[in-house]
Amino acid sequence: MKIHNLVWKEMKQRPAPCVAALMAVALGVAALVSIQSVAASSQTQVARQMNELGANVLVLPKSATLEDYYAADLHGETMPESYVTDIIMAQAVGVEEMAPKLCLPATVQDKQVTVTGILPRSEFFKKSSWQSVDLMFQEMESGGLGQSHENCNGRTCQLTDEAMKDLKSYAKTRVVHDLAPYDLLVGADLASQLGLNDGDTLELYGEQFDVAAVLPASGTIDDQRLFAHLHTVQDLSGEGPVVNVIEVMACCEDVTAGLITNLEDLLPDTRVITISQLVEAQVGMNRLMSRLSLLLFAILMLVGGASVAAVMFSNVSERRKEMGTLMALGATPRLLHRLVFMKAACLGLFGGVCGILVGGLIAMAFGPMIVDVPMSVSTSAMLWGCTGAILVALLSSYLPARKAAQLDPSICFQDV
Amino acid sequence: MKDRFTFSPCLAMLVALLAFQGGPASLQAADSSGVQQLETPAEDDQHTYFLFYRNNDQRTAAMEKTIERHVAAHADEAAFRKVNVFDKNEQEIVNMYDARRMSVPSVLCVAPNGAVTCVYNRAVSGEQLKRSLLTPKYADVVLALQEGKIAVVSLVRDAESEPLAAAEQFMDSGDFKDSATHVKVSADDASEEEFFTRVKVDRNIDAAKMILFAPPGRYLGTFDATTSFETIAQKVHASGSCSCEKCQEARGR
Repeated sequence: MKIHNLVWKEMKQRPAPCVAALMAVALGVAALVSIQSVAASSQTQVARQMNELGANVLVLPKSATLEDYYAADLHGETMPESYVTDIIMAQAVGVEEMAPKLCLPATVQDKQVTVTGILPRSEFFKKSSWQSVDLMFQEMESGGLGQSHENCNGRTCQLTDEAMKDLKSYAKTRVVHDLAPYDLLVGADLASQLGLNDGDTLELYGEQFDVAAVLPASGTIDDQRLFAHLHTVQDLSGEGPVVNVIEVMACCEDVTAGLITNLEDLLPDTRVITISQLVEAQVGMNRLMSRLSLLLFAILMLVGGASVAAVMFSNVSERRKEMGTLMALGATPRLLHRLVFMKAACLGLFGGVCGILVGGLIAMAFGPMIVDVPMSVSTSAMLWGCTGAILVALLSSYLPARKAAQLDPSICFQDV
Repeated sequence: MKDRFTFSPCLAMLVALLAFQGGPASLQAADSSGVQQLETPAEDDQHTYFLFYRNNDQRTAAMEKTIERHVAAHADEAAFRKVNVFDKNEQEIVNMYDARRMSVPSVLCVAPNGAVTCVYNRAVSGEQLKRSLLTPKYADVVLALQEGKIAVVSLVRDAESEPLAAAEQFMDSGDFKDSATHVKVSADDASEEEFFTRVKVDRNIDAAKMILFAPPGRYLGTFDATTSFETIAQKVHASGSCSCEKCQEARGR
């Protein structure tokens, strides 16, 4: 009879202790895989969002509080729109795009909606170009492109392609190239609730607006909003030239630190924060979850290891006669070692695989409810979990294996 | 009689106060709006400085003083108007330059061709104001940039001289013809002496030269007959200045 057949038959004959040990190991692996998968998916989502949003900086009124990037303009505090002009005039290195916003409630078709005033980038171009003479002077004096940065000229980007002129691109880029005073962009969900399509008209603040575009769904709060030209919203609402937030899209992460210092010096009455600071809480939570899962894995593996050791010890005690018989028939202590280790490895492997399956299912089922992001099972957690389970099972079987190898056949037969 | 005697000094004081508030009569026409003043000096080839303000605070007074000194020194080239952003009669000029949304006090200079040659807020120096006085061709270059176009400046010996072949090819090319403006400047035009100084080109040129500027004020280079159109076009695309697909690719977008 081959050694693996011996192991298999032994496990089949005494399933209860094996299942108990297997469950203890599986539990540890399941905890590791599920929590690590949730943390990794959340981390990926944060990274993807940051990548989509670019190296963003938010300029907020000093008193404004903020928790969610997409609701950065919903705090109700305002600051003068002249700050936008100040940023343009400062020609700060790294400012590639800007998006000032004013958010106000309004009633449309007896429904309460949020109207967001946005400023098209063509407005920035106009003001930026008023400094043409100074810019030309600086560049002629420096004999080059002045304060430049790799892949950007360090100043408000004036590149415009057809894709940027497409109003629907606002859902993704959060920047609109041009917008007529009485044109509206409508969020996907709101358009469906109000039954609006491109080209429809809508009454807002007592004026007729044209629906210039229904935006594609973005999965954010923007899907519930109406967007109109900032100056029109200011004038019709009577709010005057104020904004709730100025989003600054920096050209790259490298310039963000310097840019924040520049903006803080330029606008001392504001709070300047980066998107990284905003997601810091989420990143911290992911890190905590990841560490907790490792701690939980370690504790459960200790429990699992103790359980495997107990099973193996009792197994060696219960099978003394059979082991003694094997040794009398010529089996070496090495063979008994291998028998015990093989059984332990099987327990570790099955426990690991069961743990991966259970952990993966838990992550897929409950992950989206916990962190509200699409889930994928962490491959590294699966590998570490399975390897850890086998190693723990082998380590905890060392003493039982040693005990089995030291059995004396003559003493074993005395029990008969 | 008694009423007339008491009324007259009050009227005189009011007139004096209004005159003081409005600044020297030679610098600002009291009975016209900013837009009208903008139109008048343009006919005289004058630059117009607008000082937008809300209150007559220290900063406004300091800026006003600097501008007045500058305008007085360049009386034949410049005019000045102080505009309160809340003045109902001045809303046309306030809206034209969106002054309500600027930090004030702000000074903005408009060339006779309509190009904005400077904008400064809170403080301005005489040197900065001097830099904002442009020659006619320089103002054309700035206007082109403010219209979002690449300015192709051809520097030639005299009005009859031909610009570089590369400049003409540039203006005829499919990539640039709709996004560029050609400005020809003759070295023998005395009014453009300052322009040559600013672009660092000697007026005693034998052969034509070409300078490229891209919006909002990027200097792309000075070229002579040894540079081919292809090289210049490559340089423009590499700088990402004409917003075509080649520029987008060059900038990794």
